[in-house]
Amino acid sequence: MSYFSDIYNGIKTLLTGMRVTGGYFINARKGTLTQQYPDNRETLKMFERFRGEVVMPHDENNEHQCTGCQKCEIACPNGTIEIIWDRAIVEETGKKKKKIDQHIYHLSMCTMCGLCIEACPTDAIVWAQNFENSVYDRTQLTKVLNQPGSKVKDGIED
Amino acid sequence: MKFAYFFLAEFINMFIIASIAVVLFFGGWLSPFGITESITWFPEVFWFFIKVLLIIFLMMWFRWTFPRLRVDQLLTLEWKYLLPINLVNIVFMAIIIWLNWTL
Repeated sequence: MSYFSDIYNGIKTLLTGMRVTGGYFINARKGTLTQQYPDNRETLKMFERFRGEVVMPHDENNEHQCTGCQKCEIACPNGTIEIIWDRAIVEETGKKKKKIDQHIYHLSMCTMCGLCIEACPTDAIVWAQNFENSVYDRTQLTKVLNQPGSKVKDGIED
Repeated sequence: MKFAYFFLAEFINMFIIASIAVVLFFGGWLSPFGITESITWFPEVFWFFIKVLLIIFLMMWFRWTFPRLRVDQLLTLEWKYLLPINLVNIVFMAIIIWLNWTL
C-alpha cells in the first residue's frame, strides 16, 4: 500500500511545479522565455527532452549499439520502424548471431510518441534535437538509421 | 463577447469559491493574528478582499502550472486520497467532541 508515499510524492511534485511557474512569474522579463527563432538559428540549442526525430548514434569506429532485437519495431504503434536483419557467424564462438542490415525509419509516419526509444534495451536509438525536417520530396523522409558499413559494438547483448 | 460572458462566469465562480473558503476557513473579515484589531476605523472589508485575492491567485497559479489535469487524475485524487482523509477527519472530530477537548 503506497498510500502515504503517494500523498507525499503528490505534494512534493505539486510544489516543484508551482515553484517553476512561480519563478517564471517573478523573473519574467522581456526575452527570457521567447526564442527569436530564425535569427538565433546558429546559437539555438533545443532542450534535452525535445523530440526531434529518431537517430542511431554511431561512435568514431562507425559502430552502433543496435542488436536487431526488433523490440522498437514491435513497440511502434503505426509501423514507422522496419528492420531488415540477417544472421552472421561470430568468429569466436562459431554461432550465428542476429545483426541488422538496415534500420529503416519513416519520419513521415512517426508521431514522436517515443515508445521505440523506451523499448530499446541497449539505448541504440535516441531522440535528435533537430526540428527542421521539411524536404521537397517525401522519399527523403524514409531514412536508414544505421550508417553504411557500420556494425554493432562488441559486448552489446539484449 | 459571447465567450467573454462564459469566462466572466468562470471568474465569478472563482471569486465565490474563494469567498466561501475565506469565510469558513480563514477568518473572513478578521485581521490575521489580530494585527489591526485595535484600530477601530480600519475597514474590515480590506482583509476579506486581500484573502480572497490571495486564494484566487493560488488557484490561477495552480491552473497555469497544471494546464491539463486529466479527469481520471482528478477522480483518483478525490476518491482515493481526499475521501479517506475526510472519513478519518470525521472520526477524529467525533472523538474530539466526545472527549470535550478544546484548544
